[in-house]
Amino acid sequence: MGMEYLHGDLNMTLVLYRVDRTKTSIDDVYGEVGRDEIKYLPPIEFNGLIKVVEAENKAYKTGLLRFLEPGNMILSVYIKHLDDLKVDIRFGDYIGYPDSEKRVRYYTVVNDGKVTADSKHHHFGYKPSYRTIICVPTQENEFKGI
Amino acid sequence: MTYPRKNNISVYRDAGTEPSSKENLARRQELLERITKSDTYMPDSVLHDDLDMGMLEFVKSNLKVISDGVQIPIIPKILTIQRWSEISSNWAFADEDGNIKVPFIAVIRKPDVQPGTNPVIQKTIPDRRTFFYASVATWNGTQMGADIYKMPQPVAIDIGFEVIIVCHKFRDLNRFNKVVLQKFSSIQAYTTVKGHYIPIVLDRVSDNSPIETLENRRFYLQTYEFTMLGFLIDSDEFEVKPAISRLLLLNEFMAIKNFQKKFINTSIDIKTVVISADGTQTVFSVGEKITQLFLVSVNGLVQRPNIDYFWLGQTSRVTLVNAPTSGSKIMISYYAGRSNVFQDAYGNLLFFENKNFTYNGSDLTFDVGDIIVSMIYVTANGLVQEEDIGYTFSGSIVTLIDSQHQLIYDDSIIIAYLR
Repeated sequence: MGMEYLHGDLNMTLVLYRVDRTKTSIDDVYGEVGRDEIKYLPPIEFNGLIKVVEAENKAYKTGLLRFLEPGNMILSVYIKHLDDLKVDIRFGDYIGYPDSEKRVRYYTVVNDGKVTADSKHHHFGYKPSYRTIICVPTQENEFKGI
Repeated sequence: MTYPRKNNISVYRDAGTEPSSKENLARRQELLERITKSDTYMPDSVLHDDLDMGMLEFVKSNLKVISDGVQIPIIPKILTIQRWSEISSNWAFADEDGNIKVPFIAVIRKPDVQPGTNPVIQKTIPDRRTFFYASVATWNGTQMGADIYKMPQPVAIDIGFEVIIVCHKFRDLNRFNKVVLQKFSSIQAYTTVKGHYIPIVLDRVSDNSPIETLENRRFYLQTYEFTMLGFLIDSDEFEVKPAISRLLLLNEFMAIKNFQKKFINTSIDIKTVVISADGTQTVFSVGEKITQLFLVSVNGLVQRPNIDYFWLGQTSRVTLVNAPTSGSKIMISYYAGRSNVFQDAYGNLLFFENKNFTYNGSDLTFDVGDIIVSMIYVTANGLVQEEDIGYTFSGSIVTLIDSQHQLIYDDSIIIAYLR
């Protein structure tokens, strides 16, 4: 019933950009990747319940070089939905969220919510039914869609 | 205050005769030209904003980092707290939300400017006293003069800067660190501010990266702290004054009854030295300081000063332009006293006279109009005459002896004597 409501009535659609960890080459010392050198698996649309934290005014240094970015995106997604799509959301993957009709904001996964052994995520104490994924916003220098 | 425009400033041209005063003259003149670029005789002002611009230019020119084939942008302004200004300075590097795109490099000046520690310009002279900088010739239409340009000691100041790099990759940190440490391998590097070399010292490097929080945006942020050992030169403190601002004449009168004549036991020391040339020699020394040079002749032929020969005041040597042939007689007449004042044995002042006459074809006597105390030389058509052979004198009358009838009408006669 929850899935019907989320996928049918709310229909919050996101795009998952999974990092291809086999084809992406990293450097030998730091394991870093050069500019625009991350390889991705084909993007997949999925549904989830989204909460975006309010933006906070910050500065890089001693009150100078301010920046105002959206807060973290907290995403709840049904495990069955991911199983149906045959995808997994992993630490470091990117997720596109259509902020408006004209703009998609991109986030990177900082907590993939794989550990669901808690009462909150269990369905009537039987087994976990959804994952809570926490993402932080990225700049277009880091990721701007494929 | 405005200053006359320069046309040919050359402070070091008359630096002196010592060899050390001529060292690196061209380089010193070049440096002088650099610091007076605004076309006045005085150095251009160097103020806080000039020094800040010097630091900014230094960072832009010397601390470039290429990351993945693209230079990490350097924000081309010193950041201040004025909000709209900061944003306008950044918007070339901003994303759709107006945030600066990472990576980037920025220069932040610490607001507190400290008293200077540059050892070259320690704060040693109180009260902003001004000192000679240059003298500049002037001409007001009727009189030549000179202006004295003066300026106080520059004020040493230390300005603190923070150059920060914000990036996502460790390799970018390494690249920037390498560039900075290479530049500051000798502790200090230099920037140029209006022609002045200003040292910059690297104080320390610190890391302020917010990487401890897992669920926030992470980036590297490192701070390089620099101190610029600058100085202030303010054109408002310059002074231009006439070389002579006031002339005071004092006359002393002595009453006759109290006057006692004082005998000064000095004599007029006019000498004539004759030197034989060896055919190659051009420099001839009389062996003592020449106070006043009257005559130089070669085989009796009078030489023209600054054309045929040169003599530097108060020196003992006369330099001929061409070496006389071997056996030539070089005659040098000079005065070797301690000053240019001539006095007889009683302390009476004597005066040097040099009179020109023209031979009229018949009369060989010439009246100089003064009692001749001492004859220095007589020349006829540029040939030096010997006393009793070429001329005699008595009182004010000089009589030429022309036994071989060499003089003709309109010949030039020069008589130099003390009266």
